[in-house]
Amino acid sequence: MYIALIIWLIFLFAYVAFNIYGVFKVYQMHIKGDLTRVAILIYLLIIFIIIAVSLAFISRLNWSTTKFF
Amino acid sequence: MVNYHFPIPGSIEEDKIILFTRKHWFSFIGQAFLSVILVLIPIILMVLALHFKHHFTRGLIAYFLVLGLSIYYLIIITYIFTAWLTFYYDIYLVTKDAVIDVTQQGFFGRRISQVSLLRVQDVTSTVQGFFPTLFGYGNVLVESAGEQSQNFLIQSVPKPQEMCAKIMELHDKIIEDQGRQGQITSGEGTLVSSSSRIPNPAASKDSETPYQQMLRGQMTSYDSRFQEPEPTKDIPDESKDQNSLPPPIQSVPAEPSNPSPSQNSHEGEIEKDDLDQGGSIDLK
Repeated sequence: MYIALIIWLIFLFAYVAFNIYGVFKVYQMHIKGDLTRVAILIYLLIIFIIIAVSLAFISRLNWSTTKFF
Repeated sequence: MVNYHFPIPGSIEEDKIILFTRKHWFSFIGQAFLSVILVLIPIILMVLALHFKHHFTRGLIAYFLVLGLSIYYLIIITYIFTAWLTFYYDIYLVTKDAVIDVTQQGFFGRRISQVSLLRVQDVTSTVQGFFPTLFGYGNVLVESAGEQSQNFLIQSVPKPQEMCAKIMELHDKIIEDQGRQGQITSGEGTLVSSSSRIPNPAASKDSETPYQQMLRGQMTSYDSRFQEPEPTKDIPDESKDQNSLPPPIQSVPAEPSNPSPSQNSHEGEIEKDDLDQGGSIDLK
């Protein structure tokens, strides 16, 4: 099951890189006084929560097992 | 108040912006509803599985479920954010001389199109349907004239009639201003600098090319050759001083004072050699 974990980590790395660049570009085009800053903040907060919850579940599982059920 | 960080053709100044609007919030309802469903689907499925006592929380399925749900929700949250960006950055600007449509597509796609108010031919606002009538939003169609005529559709803007009227008002104002300018420049009493009205011959000669000078020289000689002499006045003006008049033109050479009788006898005769030569004939 380690292979699945490695794939997830690679996806997470690519996802974070994509979002850092995307958020940077969005922040560049914001209009003064609009909701972009708040939206970016909420977006990053949700991403952080999803990753944190995922890591919490991942840490509770035994990844060396091979039992399907 | 408005500070633009993204490039718009023509570099809009803040004082030129007459109208700044986004799409009506109700046009985002569909995307928001879809986003909520996408978020709820896995939760509903898990609740149903627990209800039917499916063993998905044990064994390898639980591992894939954790990783799969993590990836799913990360993708979904990015989808929702880009959908919101696409809605929020669909901006319509009406400036003093143009209508600008900024369309955002996800993180990295942006299309900016504009039509000059001078080229606007017709503007139509449409409010159609139950919800648009209820919430007061609709479409504005701006038709432009010219060879590259394009229809400019502004979708789901609040108060489309007001936007329509504003565009037409600005268009009429531009046309009126241009008409006034035309009248001023083409009307009487326009001040034109003396240097532009009176040509300076010396300056024009200096600026001539050698070819132009050559042509001008040829034209002068041509004119002098074919210039007819001014007709002499038969009746001189007696009121003028006779001494100031130029001497009479002697077009015929003066004859000798004592012509010989033999010469007089040949007057009017043409010799045969002269006829053979052609051209000018001397009368003898």
